[in-house]
Amino acid sequence: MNLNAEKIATNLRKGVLEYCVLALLSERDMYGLEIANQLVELELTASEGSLYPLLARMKDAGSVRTRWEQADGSRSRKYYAITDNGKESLELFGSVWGQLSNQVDGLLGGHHV
Amino acid sequence: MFSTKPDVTAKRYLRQLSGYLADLPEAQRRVILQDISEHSEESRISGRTESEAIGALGEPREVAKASRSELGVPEPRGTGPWPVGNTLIGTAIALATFTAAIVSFFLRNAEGQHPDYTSSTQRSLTSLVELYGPGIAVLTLVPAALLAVLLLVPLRMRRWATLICAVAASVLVISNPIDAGLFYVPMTIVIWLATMLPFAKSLQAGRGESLVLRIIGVLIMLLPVALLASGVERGNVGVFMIPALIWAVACLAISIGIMLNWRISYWAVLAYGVLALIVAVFDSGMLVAAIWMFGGIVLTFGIYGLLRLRPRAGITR
Repeated sequence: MNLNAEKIATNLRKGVLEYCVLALLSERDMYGLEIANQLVELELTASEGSLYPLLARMKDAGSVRTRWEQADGSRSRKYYAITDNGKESLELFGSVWGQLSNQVDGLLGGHHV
Repeated sequence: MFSTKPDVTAKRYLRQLSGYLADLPEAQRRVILQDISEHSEESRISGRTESEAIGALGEPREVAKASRSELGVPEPRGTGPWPVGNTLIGTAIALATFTAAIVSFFLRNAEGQHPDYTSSTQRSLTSLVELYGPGIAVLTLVPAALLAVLLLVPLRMRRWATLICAVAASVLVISNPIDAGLFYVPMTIVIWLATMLPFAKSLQAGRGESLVLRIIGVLIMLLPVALLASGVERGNVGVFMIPALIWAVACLAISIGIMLNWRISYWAVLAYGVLALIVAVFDSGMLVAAIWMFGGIVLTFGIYGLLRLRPRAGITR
């Protein structure tokens, strides 16, 4: 990917990352590293560190909640779970995304054809 | 098996990030730092190398930027990426310059003073510049210049450089060149603070530290008042009664503010310290060194209060 393409992708990802996290958490509860690994694998984020401020805001906004769970040994992990509030906004995002991508696809298709 | 102790790289990363996040509300800052610390530990346990794990986190500066935008904290203006450290170093530079001025121009050399001379004849004594020539003025400015260089040192080496400066300043005080060592004490204290405060785990003082330091602050505020009051009792002070009374009331008010941990009281302490330093320079009588030291300590306490007892971000907590 060249630099401009990277820039476009970064800008677009920024707006949807939050909902990608919600989508991941709607499948099952995850701890930070799991979420980060998934997002990196899907090439949705490049900076794992920036995930945590996002998660902190989502928690403040009430779309996720956290709980501590015993991992192996004495360590414990902070698990993130989606809330009803989060499910609602994920659903809403889904419909907006569907609409938007249709419109954009149509527009782009129109240009290309 | 894997050690659970964070590696040096992770530690350094967290320290840098902590510095960049200095202006965030303490609670949120702590959560982000803790999350990232756990993340790096988890990735290490999952088999990634330390540098892989740290590399994947992204630049501390970027993470800090993301944190600010997520939490709606505006980008800091003009304070740079190291606000606490820069404030302290800036203060130390100001003190070093001020010290250079007082040592070179205002301090009277007592050498050769006739034992019968009264304080009114001190005017006839020579200042260091008059005694040794303008070269001495340049020489006394060396600490200020070195501190200014400190601001140019890359952030990751800043701690060591600051430590070296602190040790050098302490040596300067102890070796006491041209009898001026004592005057560099306030600057030295501030540099020592600069080696510690910006790198502390938590930017805001814990409850115990806060209480102890506030009690010390109140003592600093009230001790001179108590000394004066005992003087009044013995009838030594008469003419200055009204200004002294105003001063005593002001000190008392500031002390109450300190106990309540009001941010404004630390600004008042800071102003009081600066005033004492100015008085020491322009009214350099017998007590010059004492007033200078007192002013320096008061000023340092004010800065400490503003940076650590009641940091700006703490208000939004």
